[in-house]
This record gives sequence, structure tokens and C-alpha cells, in this order.
Amino acid sequence: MDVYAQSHNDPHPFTLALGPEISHLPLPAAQSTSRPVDLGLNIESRRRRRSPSTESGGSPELGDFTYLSQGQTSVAHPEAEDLPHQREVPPASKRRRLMTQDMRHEFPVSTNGTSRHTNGSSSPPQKNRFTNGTNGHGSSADDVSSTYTNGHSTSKSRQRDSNFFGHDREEVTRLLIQGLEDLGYNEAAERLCQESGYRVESQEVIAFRHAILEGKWSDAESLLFGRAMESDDGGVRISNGHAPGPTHLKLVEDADVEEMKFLVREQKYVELLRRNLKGQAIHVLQTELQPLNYDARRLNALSGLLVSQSSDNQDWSAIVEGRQKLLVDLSKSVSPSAMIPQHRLADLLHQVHRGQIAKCLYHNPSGLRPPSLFVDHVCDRNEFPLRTSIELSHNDGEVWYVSFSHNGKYLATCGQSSTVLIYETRTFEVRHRLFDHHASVVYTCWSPDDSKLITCSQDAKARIWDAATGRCIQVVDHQEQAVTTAAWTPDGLNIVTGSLDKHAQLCLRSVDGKESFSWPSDLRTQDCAITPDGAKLIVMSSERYVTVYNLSTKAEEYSIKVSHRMTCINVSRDSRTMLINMANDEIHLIDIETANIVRKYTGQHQQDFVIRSAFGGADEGLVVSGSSNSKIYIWHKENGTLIETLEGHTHGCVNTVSWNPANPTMFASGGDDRKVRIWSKVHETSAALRRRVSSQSSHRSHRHERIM
Amino acid sequence: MGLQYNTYLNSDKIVGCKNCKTHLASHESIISRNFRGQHGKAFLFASVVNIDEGPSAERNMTTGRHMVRDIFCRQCKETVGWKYDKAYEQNEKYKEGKFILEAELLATVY
Repeated sequence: MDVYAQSHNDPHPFTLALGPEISHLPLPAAQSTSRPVDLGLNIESRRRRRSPSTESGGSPELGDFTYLSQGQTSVAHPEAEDLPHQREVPPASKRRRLMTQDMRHEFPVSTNGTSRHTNGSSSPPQKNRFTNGTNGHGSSADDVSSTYTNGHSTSKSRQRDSNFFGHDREEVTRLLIQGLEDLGYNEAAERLCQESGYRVESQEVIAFRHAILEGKWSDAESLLFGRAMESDDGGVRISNGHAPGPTHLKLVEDADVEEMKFLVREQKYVELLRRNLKGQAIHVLQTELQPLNYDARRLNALSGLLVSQSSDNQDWSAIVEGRQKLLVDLSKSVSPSAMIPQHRLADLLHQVHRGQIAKCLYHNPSGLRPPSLFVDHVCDRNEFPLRTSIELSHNDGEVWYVSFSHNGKYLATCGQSSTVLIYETRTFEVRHRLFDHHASVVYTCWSPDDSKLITCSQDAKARIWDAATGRCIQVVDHQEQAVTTAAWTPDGLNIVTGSLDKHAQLCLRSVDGKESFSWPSDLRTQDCAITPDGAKLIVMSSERYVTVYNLSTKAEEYSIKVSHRMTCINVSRDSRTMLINMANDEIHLIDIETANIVRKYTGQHQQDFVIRSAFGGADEGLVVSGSSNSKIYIWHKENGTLIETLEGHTHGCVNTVSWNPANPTMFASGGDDRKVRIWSKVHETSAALRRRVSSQSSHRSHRHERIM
Repeated sequence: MGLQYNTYLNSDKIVGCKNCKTHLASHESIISRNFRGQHGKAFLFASVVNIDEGPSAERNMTTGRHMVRDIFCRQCKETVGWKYDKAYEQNEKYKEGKFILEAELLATVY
């Protein structure tokens, strides 16, 4: 029976021990490099010979692999010294296998085909360029004995069950080895290899990688497809390790063998050209690339390279890059169990994170630190803005639009009265009052650098104001009907104004008012937005069309007709999605590229009013909207679930909401009750805000108590 | 209450508010021209847009007793006509739910 199993007292023989617990991993005893091959060796003697540092001092035993990674293991050395010699006896089968391995690190440990050097491993200078080929294990031997197969020895005794909490042991172990290598713990990874008996990659894969990176094309091809290309077999079987020498790799089901061959030969050809060996290159072109009959266009391009290759490009690094890229391309066609995708463990952790964040309803991270892995991520409801901290009643008309500046310092409000107010957000005092309009003001738009503000009014004019002084610097007057919307280009030099005119309703002009372009269209513009990357202009018209224009070419990209009247449009910060409020009480989130409706949010009431919504939250994970029933609705953007319904406005519609870009726990809303409400989280007030609240006229204090 | 943009009609000849040119109805949708209001000629329409309605009241018209309410332009709040809520005589039932716009208070908008 297994002495090994008895030496551990825990019922689960294999415990996941990473990081600080690595020291508890018992060392596999049978690691001495000077072991004879026979199996009946005394266990104790083997154990004695084993020490953590033998790895770095191995004598050449098997074959003539040059010892390369001196530097690398010495870096990992300190870690190894803490490891106690606890390990007793490996099982018989493992003994056999371990003895036949070459325990030295052969290649500087790196990752899957790229030349990234992991922290903690240094690659030896001489073969720096193209020997970084291993993925997850240090030592390998090409012509190792036949008992070594892909991943684990079949005769290994089963003292550990192959089921690790529901996951396949082999997969988990190999992932861990790869992860350790990525983290730089090469010693630990090596030990894990030895103890578990798994390798991240089989010998064939290592040989394949080596062949590609060294430029041994015929080896590479034979590894991929089978020793003899003219064999009738398709060559996608995995070998069971009996054939002497490397056998072919297992490919994915639908791997395009022709394409892979083409890629390999293409690289060979290009390299020959780079080294100016034109004769050989032509030979390759004729004998190898031509008969493949794959993609004649590329073939022609390659032949064209022959004549156009003027630069004497002997750049070694470019060749190395090409080979690595080839490796990455080809590895996509190799079965993932043979070649694990790069950084797979990190990928999986990312997915877990994303899943947790997607489920976290109140996710509104004010800091940018990612959630810890130790606890499932759940955001606290108390961090969410739920409470009105300030109510501003300076507006003498219904409030139709509020908007924070991009730096979060100012808040502009406008509405039925023709006065526009600019508040400072620190104290919420009125900084400027802008009087020049003659009719109600429907929209304001801050410039990207917050130095200017455009206001659009129903007196058919749009005005550009200097935000610091409150002076009007420009009047845009080219339309008969109300100007409904305006937008800045990201460079702050041009603006687009839209109106409900039948003609000339969408104009691009520079800031000093010179009109540069007017889109010809019959659709009256109700709202427009420019994507933050400056690429597209999205226009929403009252005839229920959404039209997307390319801003640089001014051409129309596409136009979709929606089912109901729309009331507002917003573009997300990543320029990929837009949010549209519809009169049938839905809010649609539409992908700009594909024009597909990604999400729908319901719950708010619109009737016929212009109700505006906004993206909210620290990384735009929320959708906020007003509603005609005096409530504010907040949804989780990814889930579509309604998180909160906030009451506070007394009557009429909540026309507009705006989230503070600088403070993710503050947003403002404006409604028909002529009030602007600032919402923040439950326990937040700064001293200035508190003073402000108390200085509001006392007859409103009872309402505050009701709210809070 | 709230902000509402005006509805715009697509037609060759549109009648609109004389004051602010807000679209009210399309000329082709006139049902009857055989009406007179306080200010002269008036037309009967099936549907008008961009109007606000006043309270309903009983009035004696030349054709009999009706329940009517005044209608105003949404933007400038000027009276433009009235709407029939209820007609007490059987002959007049066809007017129920329809609108009268007085020619004097209208302008043609193209």
C-alpha cells in the first residue's frame, strides 16, 4: 500500500496549498540527478540526496542539453531554502517516472510562446532570444523515455482521487503550475510538477514550441501533422507515446491543416527573404507554398515580396517576433488540453470577478481598487445615493435640464424660465445667472474642458457662454424653431446644434460661430449626442428615426426607425452604447456598432413628456431616469433590474437627472416642482452642505425631515 | 407641466396657430367647412395636435345644446377653437370628440 498516503493524516490527500503554504508541500524525494535507472533503489538514500538546491547544480545526465537557467533558479533559491524535508516515500510508479526526468531547468521559464520574462525568473543572456519556450515547467527532455506521456503517467497509483471538489485534478494542477510560472514561482511550480506528476505541456508541445522558435520548420511540421506528410492519415490523432521521438500534437476538431501548413511555410519564406537568401526563398515558394493551393491572393502577395524586398532587413528581433506570432496563431489550432491558453488562471479569475460584479446590485465603486478575491463581492447599500441632501429652489420655472460639468465642480440648471443658473457643487451656491434668453431654455451642454457652456432655448437661439465669467460670447441664430440640443466635439472646437426646424436643423459650426456644415435632412432634430471618441454623431429626430453620422466624413452611417417616439439620447463614456428613452415607457440601451437593442429598462412613466435619463455610477454601471410620476428610477445596467425607486419631488414629472462625474455617490435631479434635488449617500455630508441645508428657509425643514 | 416638444405634421398644407405657427392640423383632414364660430368661419377636424384643453361647459349653439370645451395652442396659450364633448340631439352626435378650429385664429404653415 502506499506509504505516502499514510504519511498524511488528512483525508484529502491533495490540499491546494499555494503561496505562503508552499513550504508545507513535501518535497518529492526522488529527485537526485545521479540516480541509477533501476527501480529497486533504497528510498532513504534517495531522500538524503535530495536537497532544494540540487536543481541548480545538476550534472549533465541525459543527453547534451546545455544548462541554461542558472540565473533563474538562483533567483528562486531563497524560496527553496525554507522548504523542509518532510517527504517520505513516493509511490512506486512515481519513483520510476521521476527518475527518468531531467530535473534541470532547460529553458528560462517564460510563458506560452511569448518572450515575456516573468518576475523572478531571469533568462540567461546567451540564448535570450528564442529559447523562451516553456509554458509552466522548467525541465524537459526531448527524447525522454517512453513512459512519459502527455500529462500523467498512466500507471500512477490512484491514491489521490481525480476529483478535486468537483473539478478534474489534472486540469486544476496544470492550471496551477501555469499560474505559478506566470507569477514567477518557478521552484514551486517545478515542485508541483514533480509532486503531482502533471506537466503543463507535454514533450511534443515543448518540442513543437522549440521548433517554431528556433526556426526548425520541418520539425515543426512533422510535429504538427505527423512524421511523414505523405502518410494517408490526417494526422490528428494523439499518439500514445510509443513512437520514438516526437509525435504529432493533438489538434482541435476543425483545425484547418492547410492553413497551418501555409502559415509555417510562409514564415519560413519570409525569413529567408529577410536574410536575403532569395534563391532558397524562391525554392520554398515553388515547392512548398505553391502546391498547397491555399489562398492564391496571399500567395501572390508573397511572391510580390520577392521583388519589392528592398530593405536589407536582418533584424533579428523582427524574426523572433514573427515566430512568436506564428506560434500564437498555430496554438489556436492545437487542442487546448495540449497547449493551455496563456494566463488561463488569471482569465478564469477575471471571469469570476465579472460575474460577481454583474450580480452585485449596488455596485458603485468609488475607489478603483478591484474587489478582493477572498470575499464574494457585494456592495453596501449605504454607499448608494438614496437621500436628498440638498434641495435647491432657485429656479422660478419648471426645471427641465440639469447637468454637471465634467470635472464635477459646477451644476447648470435650466428650464421654463429663461434664466440659466450655474451652481458650484462644493457649496451649492449660485455662481452665475444667465439672463439673455427670451424663452425657456431646454438644454445645456458643457464643453469638454468645462470652460464654456452652450444653452439652447425655445427662442430659436443657442448661446455659448464663458463659464468662468458668465458672459455670453456667442449667439447661434440660424433656425426658426426652437433649438433643442447641442453637442461639443471632443476637441472643444466645434459644436453641433440641432433644432426642430424643417430645414437646416443640424449644423456643425466652429466655436466662433462660423457655420461649416449643415446636414441636409428632413428630420427635425430632438436630441443629438457626439460619442466621446469623436467618431460619430447620433441624432434623434421627432419622426422616430435615430440616425448615426460619421463625424469626420459627415456621411450617414445608418438610420433606424424605432417603434415609438423618443425623448432623449445619451451616449456612454466608452462610445459603444447609447441610451434612448421611449414614449412607451421603456428605455433602450442600443449598441452603436450593430444597432441592436442590448437591454431594456422599464418601470418609469413617460407619457408624452421629455423625460431624460443618464448613465450613472462610477463606471457607468447604472442607468438613472426621471419619470412623469415624480419618482426617480435607478437600474443596474448589466442586469436590467430596477435597484431603487426614489421619491422626493412633490408633483409633476422628474424631468432630468445627471450624475456627478467626479463623485460617484452624488447625482442631481430636476422636476416640475421647480426644485433641483441633490442626492447623496446616507451618511455623507460635508460641513458646507450641512450649513446649506440648515440655512434653507425653515418652512421647508419639515419636508426635509420627511425625506430623511 | 413638463417639457413637451411640439408634434409636427407632414403635409403640404398645414394649419397652425396664427401666433406661434405651431402645427395644429393638416388642411386635407377638414371634415366640414360649414361651421361658424364667434369670429367667423370655422372648420371641423377629426384630430388636432399640440393643443391644451380647457374645462367642459354646456353651451347653446345654433344647432342645439352641447357640451364643449375650449382648446388652446400649447405653446402660446391662445384660444384656437373648441371641442365637442357631447351633443344632446341625435343629428348632432357625429360631432362628438371632434374639434373646431376658427379660421380667424389660424395661419397656413408650409
